[in-house]
Amino acid sequence: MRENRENTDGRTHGNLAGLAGKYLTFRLRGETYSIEILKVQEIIGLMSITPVPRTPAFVRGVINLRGKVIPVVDLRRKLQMEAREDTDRTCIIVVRVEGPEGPLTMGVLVDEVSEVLDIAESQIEPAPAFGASVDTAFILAMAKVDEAVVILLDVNQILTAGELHLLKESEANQAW
Amino acid sequence: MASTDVTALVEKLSECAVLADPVDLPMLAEMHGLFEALVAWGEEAGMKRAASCAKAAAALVESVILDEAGDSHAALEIAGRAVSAMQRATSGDYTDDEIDYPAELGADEGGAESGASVTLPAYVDEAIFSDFLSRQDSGLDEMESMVLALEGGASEEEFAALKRYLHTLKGESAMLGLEQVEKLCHAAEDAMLEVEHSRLVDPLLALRDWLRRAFDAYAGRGGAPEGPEALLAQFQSLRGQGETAEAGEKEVPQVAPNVPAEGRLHFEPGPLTGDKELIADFITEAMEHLDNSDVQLLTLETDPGNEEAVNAVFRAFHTIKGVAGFIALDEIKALAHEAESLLDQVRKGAVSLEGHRIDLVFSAVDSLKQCIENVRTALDNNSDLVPTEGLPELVAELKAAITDKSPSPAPASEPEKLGDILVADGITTAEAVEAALAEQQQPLELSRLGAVLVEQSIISTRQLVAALEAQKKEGGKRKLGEVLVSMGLVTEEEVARALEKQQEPPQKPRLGEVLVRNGAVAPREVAAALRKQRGRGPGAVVKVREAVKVDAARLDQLVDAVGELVIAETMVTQSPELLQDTASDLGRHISQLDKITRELQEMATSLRMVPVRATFQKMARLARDLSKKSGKSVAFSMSGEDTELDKSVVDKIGDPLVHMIRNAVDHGLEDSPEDRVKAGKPEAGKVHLSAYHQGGNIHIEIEDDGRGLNRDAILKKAVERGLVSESEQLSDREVWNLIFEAGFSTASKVTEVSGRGVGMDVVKRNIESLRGQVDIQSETGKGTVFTIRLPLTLAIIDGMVVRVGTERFILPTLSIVVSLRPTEQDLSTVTGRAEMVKLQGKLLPLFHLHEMFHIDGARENPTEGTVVVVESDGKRVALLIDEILGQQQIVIKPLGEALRDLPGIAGGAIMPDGRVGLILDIVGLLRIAGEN
Repeated sequence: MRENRENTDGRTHGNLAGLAGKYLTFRLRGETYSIEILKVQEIIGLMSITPVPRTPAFVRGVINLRGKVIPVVDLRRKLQMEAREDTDRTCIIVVRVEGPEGPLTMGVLVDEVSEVLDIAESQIEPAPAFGASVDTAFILAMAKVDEAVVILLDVNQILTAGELHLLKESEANQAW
Repeated sequence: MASTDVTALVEKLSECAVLADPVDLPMLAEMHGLFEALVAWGEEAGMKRAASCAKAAAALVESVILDEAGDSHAALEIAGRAVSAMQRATSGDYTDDEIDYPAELGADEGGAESGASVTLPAYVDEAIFSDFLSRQDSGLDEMESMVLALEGGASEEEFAALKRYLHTLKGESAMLGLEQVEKLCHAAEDAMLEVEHSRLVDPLLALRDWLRRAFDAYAGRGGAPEGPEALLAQFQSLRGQGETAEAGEKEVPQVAPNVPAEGRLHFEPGPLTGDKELIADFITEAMEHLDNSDVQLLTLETDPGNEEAVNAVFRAFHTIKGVAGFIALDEIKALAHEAESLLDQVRKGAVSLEGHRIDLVFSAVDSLKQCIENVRTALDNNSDLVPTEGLPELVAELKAAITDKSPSPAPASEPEKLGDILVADGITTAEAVEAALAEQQQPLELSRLGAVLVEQSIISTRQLVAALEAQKKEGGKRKLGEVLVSMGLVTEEEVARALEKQQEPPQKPRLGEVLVRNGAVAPREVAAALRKQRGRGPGAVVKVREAVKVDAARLDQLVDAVGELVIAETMVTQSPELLQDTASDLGRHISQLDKITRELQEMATSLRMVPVRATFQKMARLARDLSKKSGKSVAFSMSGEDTELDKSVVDKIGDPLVHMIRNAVDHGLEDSPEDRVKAGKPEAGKVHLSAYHQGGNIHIEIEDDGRGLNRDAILKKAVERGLVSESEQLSDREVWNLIFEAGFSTASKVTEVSGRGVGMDVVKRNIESLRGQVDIQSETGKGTVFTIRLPLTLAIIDGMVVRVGTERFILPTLSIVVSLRPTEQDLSTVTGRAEMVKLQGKLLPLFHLHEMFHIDGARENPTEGTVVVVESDGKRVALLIDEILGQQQIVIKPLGEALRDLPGIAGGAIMPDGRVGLILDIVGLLRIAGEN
């Protein structure tokens, strides 16, 4: 299988070879996204989130995770989708990501969690270029599972620490 | 006596022991009888120790019945242990020797006489000895495992570790004067050098057991072990030498320094020969001793007669000398020896520690520190030890100072009075002692008839008890004497004689007894004080301080976890479901849980608390050095050294204090004594360092009576530097705060204005990083007071919960000045936008928190909301909020790496409902306000 991969797409092999593995998939506006399972610490139901003033719109606020305060990022807003009322399926995926100064724990708010998928290397394809209209920096790759498309997200990219503060006044206005 | 009978006896006895109460006379009488029966059994069965134990227990119970036992509860507790021992003795499963009879009952008395002596040498410091004993607890356990490892073929390292342990123990015992321990360790060490490992195991284990018993005996936890001769012989025979235990009598190495004929010491550089690890330990310990000596010497400077301080310094030198001699640091040994000798003369009252002598002792401390630094350097670089400069001269000077005695030896000091000791130890108050002394003089109540009769062996305790019971049954109509006569136990004649005896004035009760009877002190405390009064007499017992060293990180985790528990507990207790449920017991249980949780929280918090003493002591030394260096005479004093602060705060407060003390002496105090006298002040400048609690915070004050801050000079400097404009009207407070501006100091130094500000910006920053505040009060010509306000701990703050729209925030209570609901008259606007609120005649800028934070649905009209005046950096602003919800203690949590440094938000806190509340950062808010 490995050889296969090389034959068909040697160009991106270096990027895609290590991507096979287990992924937690979840849905956002009908699309299926996924995060590498090793980055996921736990999944919790929606709980009361305290908004934090003067942060970007995609920062929903902070929650109390068993005594630890962690920020929650609304993934819809982060990926520039329109906001939506929370439902009883809305939940928070707690992930551990590499920050500039060590690991960070964060919550990611998603529409609903689907399942854990085993994605083989053969199912993975590089993300197509959409041009300037869509930011693909946080897309690791795409995977085709039973004819459905799963977008593999690079959590480290979406949730870099630097983005959460250092915002402009205008952005803050949107947030509140 | 048949064994079944005995078993029944003991069973009955154990029942009594469980139920026994000092006032339950019939029960006690029964116990007494049962113990006596056991004495008979023990003698019959040949269980000598059991018999003597039972006999002593019977006597003890009797003393309780007669109300003669000092602490009847303690006595009964001992009796209870005697019962357990008797249970084992009568079970037939153990031999008499295998049973641990309560040591207090002296079943081992016979053995103790020939056994190891547990007499402490008089000069040993109790604290040092207690520390030594507590360390041995774990040390002996380690030794055991090391010895056991020998059997399985231990590595060279393990063997060396064991040798080192014995070697250290030998050294320490020598220092403490535990000759037998020293001899045994020495013999064991010798044997270890020559004998095959496997053969050492048994004797070493025997040694370990012996040591355990000996240390326990010192700690008052059991009888002394048999003498060390057998063990010594065992080690001797191991080495195949026919010598007897005589070898143990070997001379203790001479402690006097090796002084060449010309009387001048000379030390050559040379390598360190002692055990490296021991030397490293020595460095740390000796430095501690020396630091402590500094403080004691400072006390002595003002109070040369302070015996305690003299003794403390003496002990420090003594200890250093002992260990230094042991690890072949001759230089240190020689100097410490001379210093010790001088102090010894002082102790004996032959010379007084004043003027030149105290300076010499200070120099000795400094020189010793230098020596130890040299040792450290030699140790670190593995280089030769360099002799310390000026040391031989100092030794000679010390010698001279000893021989140059003042002719008036002080009279032998009287033993301290018990009352004084008790008061000094804080066990009781002076009033209580006085009351007791007065009572002591009063006519005494007469001892009771029953007691007299029992004392004269006319009746037994049991009979007395029976008579008392009978008397009670009759309703107490008849006198005890009549009851006894009617019971045929005594004759009338005997009663008459006893009554006569009863009239004799008994001995005056002793102060301790009176104090105990008045409930002012516990008997145990009197005993301790008496022991102290007697000095360390034979058989003195040292209390072992139990201490466990814990990793600070684990302690933090515990404190964190307790914080969580408190939050979770609050969530439970405040849950609405619970408030509805008023019928069941649940509420009661919950409030119990609440109490325990609070206690636990307090305990956890206190774990991290340490007294500021050590830090303050360093300041005392600093002040003295500064005084010598600058030539200004400084009277440094301090108070509140026992005030406790979070360890991390104590660690960080040192640097700012150094700056501030230096400033107080350098800049605060007048340059010359003449200036001071001219100003009508005493020649010596006063610098006072104090710590105290106030309103949930710790205040540390540095007060001087110098010339005070010069307002004009500071203002001039500030205008020059463009910090303020000339037209600005500044309050004193605002002016004083200018000295905290970065770089302000340099300017004032160049022009030598009396501005003090060397690194004051650093001071302020350090203190603010501890969430503290600095405040200055100064009056020109009279002095300056710096007040540092610090939170008790870094983790918990007092917060005011406020509401803005739908959101809650927490304001640190420390930064709130006042809250008010303004009227229309209090408000004014500037250019139609910027709002101002009037407070005590001053106009403060008013900021709407909901605007700064873009919160919807908040009250926009200040007259409907609440205005909170907050203060930071000496600046005050007013914040408009909706309302204040309440005050609570808050555990600060960081918002996580990703949300660090958010403007206006200092962190988060878990609120009682489990949600996160945001803590406002006043400095950040001011900054946002400035931007807007």
